[in-house]
Formats: sequence, structure tokens, C-alpha cells
Amino acid sequence: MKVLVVEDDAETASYVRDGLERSGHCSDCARTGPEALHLGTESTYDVLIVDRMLPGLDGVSLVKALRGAGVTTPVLFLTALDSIADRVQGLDSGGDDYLVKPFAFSELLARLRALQRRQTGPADDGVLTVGDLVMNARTWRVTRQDRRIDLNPREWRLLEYLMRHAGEVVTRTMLLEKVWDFHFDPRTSVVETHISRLRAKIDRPFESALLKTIRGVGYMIDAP
Amino acid sequence: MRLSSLLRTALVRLTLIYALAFLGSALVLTIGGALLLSGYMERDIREDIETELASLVGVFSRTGMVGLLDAIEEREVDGRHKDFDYWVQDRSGTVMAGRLRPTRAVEGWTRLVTPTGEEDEPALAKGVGLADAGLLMIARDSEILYETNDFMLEILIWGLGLAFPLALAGGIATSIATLRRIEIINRATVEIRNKGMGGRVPVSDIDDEFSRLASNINAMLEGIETLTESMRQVSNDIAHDLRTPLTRLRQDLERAQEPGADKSPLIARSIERIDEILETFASLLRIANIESGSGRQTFEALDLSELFRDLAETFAGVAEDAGKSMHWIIAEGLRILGDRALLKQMVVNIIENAITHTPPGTRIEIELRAGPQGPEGVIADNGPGIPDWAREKVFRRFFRVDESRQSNGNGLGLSLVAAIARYHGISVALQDNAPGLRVELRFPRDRNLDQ
Repeated sequence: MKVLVVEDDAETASYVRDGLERSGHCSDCARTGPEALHLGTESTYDVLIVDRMLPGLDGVSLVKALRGAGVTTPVLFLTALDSIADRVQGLDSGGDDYLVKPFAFSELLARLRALQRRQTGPADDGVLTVGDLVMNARTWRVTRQDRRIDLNPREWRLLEYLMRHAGEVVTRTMLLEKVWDFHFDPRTSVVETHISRLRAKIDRPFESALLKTIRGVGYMIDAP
Repeated sequence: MRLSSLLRTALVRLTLIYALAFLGSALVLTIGGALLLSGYMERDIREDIETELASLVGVFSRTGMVGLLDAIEEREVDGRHKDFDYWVQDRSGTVMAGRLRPTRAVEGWTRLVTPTGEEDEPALAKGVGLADAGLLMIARDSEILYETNDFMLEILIWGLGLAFPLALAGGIATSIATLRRIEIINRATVEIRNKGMGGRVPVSDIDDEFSRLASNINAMLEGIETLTESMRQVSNDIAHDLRTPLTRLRQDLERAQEPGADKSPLIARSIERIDEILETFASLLRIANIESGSGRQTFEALDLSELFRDLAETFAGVAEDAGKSMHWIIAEGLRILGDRALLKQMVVNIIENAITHTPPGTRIEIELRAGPQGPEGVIADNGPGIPDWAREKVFRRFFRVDESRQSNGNGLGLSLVAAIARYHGISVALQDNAPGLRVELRFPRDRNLDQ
């Protein structure tokens, strides 16, 4: 994955770039808004990581300018501004995801993969398949080994998100944001509770487990 | 120094204003009086002349010219008419009688400077035509009018001479009395500036502008004192609250430094502690952000019933795993205007409090119904509840019922609830559920959403 890191703070930039390199990705770095606009329109990237506050041209204006220039590369905002209004403004400008500093690197990686996947994902025919687990949105049915599994709407949403990102690590925060629309950290084990209930339905009655816990990072659904 | 020189300027200015106002009114009074008086006297003189003319014209019409001339001759010597001078001319203009020597013989009123052509004595005169085209003219001494004016002028000069020092003295006295009360307020504020917010401006018993000024200053001081006190409280609490995790963090890092230490769990725990501290700051910022009220642009019409049901279903499993039961009755189709993310966080905080601060076996009830003033939400449990003394304080930042700060949570959950509620105009009441805690939320109704 080729990433453009737009960040004026040298320390944060090198932290992000080193981490990307260790995970096998290559990156360019832009220190100012105009520099990022130039690189973003001249070269091709898989994902852009954009800081909100930049010299020359702020992150929101930068993304608007890029979108105006026809650049559709997914954008992840990486920022210390975390009020709801800031988040809404960031996503309205054409950003695809929003991660608030400070962050865990594993969280950043998981989100980058999810963004890349969104870009290259297969056309949605309403049917998701992971191994012998099939989710059909048109018939509103989930089956495993042709046995029907009854899910409530929340379990459906959780499983759908996991299956859309099959083979990728999905963090707890991503699930809270995308499945529950919680933009804060709950004190109770909401995600763990629902994952364990989902497991009881899709994994426990069968020999093999599809839904795995990735320690310290999150969850992943994948064919065994 | 600057204060007293300012005061002196104010004193001089006020005194001068007083004195000038006093003098002005004295001047107006005297001149007005003089004008009125001389007007009145002139009217008197004119009446005298009219009366005398009428009586002599009467004599003429009864006894003719001969009788008239006799009467005049008589009056010029009898002493009772010594203020009058007479003059009669016949049809051809020949003077028939009288000492009067008018410059012009005319009918109607004239002012004469030298009536008899000798002494300089101003007089008022009136002429009337007689039958057979003769003319009778009578003049009366009007010296008195000028004398009156002179007299009034004299009064004015004397009066002003006496009044001016009096006015000055009065001005100084009133100014000093006024400025002394301002000076009292001044001195009190200087003292408060030097010695701290505890002091107050003395309020006098008289209900006037000065005591109102003093009470207003005191009310302002009260507000500033409460604010600084709460700011001091919050900074104290932040310092106190962060000391514990920072101390533990330091201990972990010290241990990790020791040779042969198993670093990885220590580092993992350190990161956890740092996250905890960062979370505290994030919550504080979030509360401050909401309280500053910037961002109402994220308000939208939303289905409160759906939001409540969604959260009840989400947390029912969490409660169950913690050995508690959750039950809900949620009325359909209740809508309000608000920020979805913030409202979610508010309700989640309350539900999570009910789950985390109660023992296993607790029953948690969630209710949403249409009230007369708008939707009403209830989140109640039959756990230990909050003691009476703490119920008002739980909304304060960093306040915990358990003072040891050992319980989970950063003591900001309910502060955030309060901030979000205030931002939306929602009233939050904590009631005794006997036993347990009952949180009542009254949402504002938006009439535009009722249809």
C-alpha cells in the first residue's frame, strides 16, 4: 500500500512512516498543505493520511481541493480536534475516516486497510460469504453449513461489518463507530458482550471458529 | 496620588456647576422680578392718567372750555395733583392753559423726557381730542419706573455678591458629600484588589444610586468569586486526580528500568495508564467544548424512541453478563431536536452508571414516555443509590461518592451528562428510587416536530 502522510509535526510524521514501513507499506510525506496538494494530484496513492492543522492550507481545505481536482483516493483524517462538529466537518469535506490523536498504531493500520478495501472491494450483490458462512441481504438470511441462524438487527449489523472486512483486523473502536455509532469510549464491555453473543450463534454450534480475537488489536472474521 | 488628583478635579468641576446653577437662577429671579414690577407700575401710571383724562373730559362736556380751563388752573395749585401736568390747545393750535410743553401735540400715548421744558424728569403722557377740535393732554411723572429699575439692579449686584460665596460653599459641601460616598466604594475596591476576593463594598442604608452601585459591585464580586473558586477547585481536582495514575506510571517505568525486569507487561500497563490520563483530558475538553456551546450546527430532528430502544437493546446483554437484569418500556415515535452523538453519550453514561455502580441481581428499568412538556425518560435501578448529601454534588467534575477514588470511572461521567443536558435544555433530576437511584430526564418539546 502506498500512503501519503500529510503532517507538519516531524516527530508524528516519522512515527507514522516508520510504522508503515515496518508493516510493509511505503510512504511519502508532505509538510504543508500546498505541498500535499501538489503530491496528491501528481502521484497516485492508495490512501492519504491528513492532519487537520497544517501550514499554508488546512486539512479540510486540502481535501476539498483534492476532491475538486478529481482525486478520489480515500482520506483518513488524523487529528487532535475531536469535537463532534470537527468530525462532521472533516467527513463533510470529503474525508473517509477520522482518527483522533493520540492513537494506537494498530488502530491506524486497521483503518488504513479498511479504507483500501473500500476502494477495491467487489461489487455488492447483497451476498457476503466467509467460508461456509453466508449472509444474504436480499433474503435477510444468514446460514452456516446451510443451517439457518437467527440474528437480531444489531447482531446482523455487527456480522455484516465483520464480513465486509473479512480477513482484516477490525478494532474495537471501529466497531463502536461503525456498528453502534458511538464516538466515545464506553466504560462497559459493549463490544465484547456482543461479539461473544454473536460467537454463540455462528461459531459455537460448529466445529471451527470463524470469528477470531486478535489480542490487543481487535477481531477478524476469516475462513479457517 | 492619581486618585486624589482625579477627585480634586471632580470636586472643582462639581462645585463650579453647582455655583453657576445657583447664580443663574438668582439672575433670572432678579431680572424677572424687576421686569414684572416696572410693568405693574407703568400700568398703574397709565390708569391714573386715564382716570384724570376721563374726569377732565367730563368737566369739558359739562361746562365747556371755560370750565375746563378753570379746573386745570385749580388743579395746578391744589397740591393733590402735583404729579400731573396739563396742556390744552384750541382748534387753531393756540395754547389755552397748562405748564406742559410737549414736543409734539398728538392724540394717544407718548413718552416725554422734559415735560415742562425745564427739568429732566421723564413722564408718560396721553392726549385726547376735545369737541370743536381742541386737544387736552395730561402727563404724569414716570421717574419712579427708572428708580425701580436702578433699585433692582442694586439688589442684583448686592445679591450676587452675597450669593456667590454661598453658592460656592454649598457646591463644595454637596460635592464633598457625594464624592465621599464614591471614595468609600473606591477604597473598598482598592482593598479588594490588594487583599483578595473576600472583601465587599459597604452598602449604606439609604436606597439610592450609590447603594445600588455598591450592591451591584458586590453581586459582581460574588459571581467572580464563585467562578474563580470553581476554577480553583477544578485545577486542584485535576492535579489531585492525575497524581495517582502518574505516580503509578512512574513506578512501573522505574521497575521496567531494573535489570532483568519483564518489560513487556510493565510497558503495556504504562500505556494503559497513559490512555487513562489522556481519556481524562479528552473528557474535560469535551465538557468544556459542550459548555462553550460551539457546535449547535450539529442539531437534527431525531427519533428519541429509536435511540432509547437501540441503547436498551445494546446494554441489556452487558447488564445480563454482569448479573443484572434490564427492562424497558419505550413509547413510539417521540422526536426531539438534538445532537445524536451527544445524546447517545448522555444516555449511555447514565445506563453504564446503573450497570457499574450496582451489585449483581440489580434490576434496571428504562422508560420513555410522552409527558405534558415533552418526552420524559427514566433510568432507574434498585441498587444502593446515592446518599442525599451527594446528590447535588455528583454533577461536579471529579466528584465521586466513593472518596478513595478507587472505583472505576474518572469522576467526569455525570459532569458530561450535565453539560450535554444543559446544551439541549434537558432537565436532569436524581431521585431516590427507594431503594436505588432514579434518573429523570425531561426533554424539551419542539412543536415543529409534533406533526
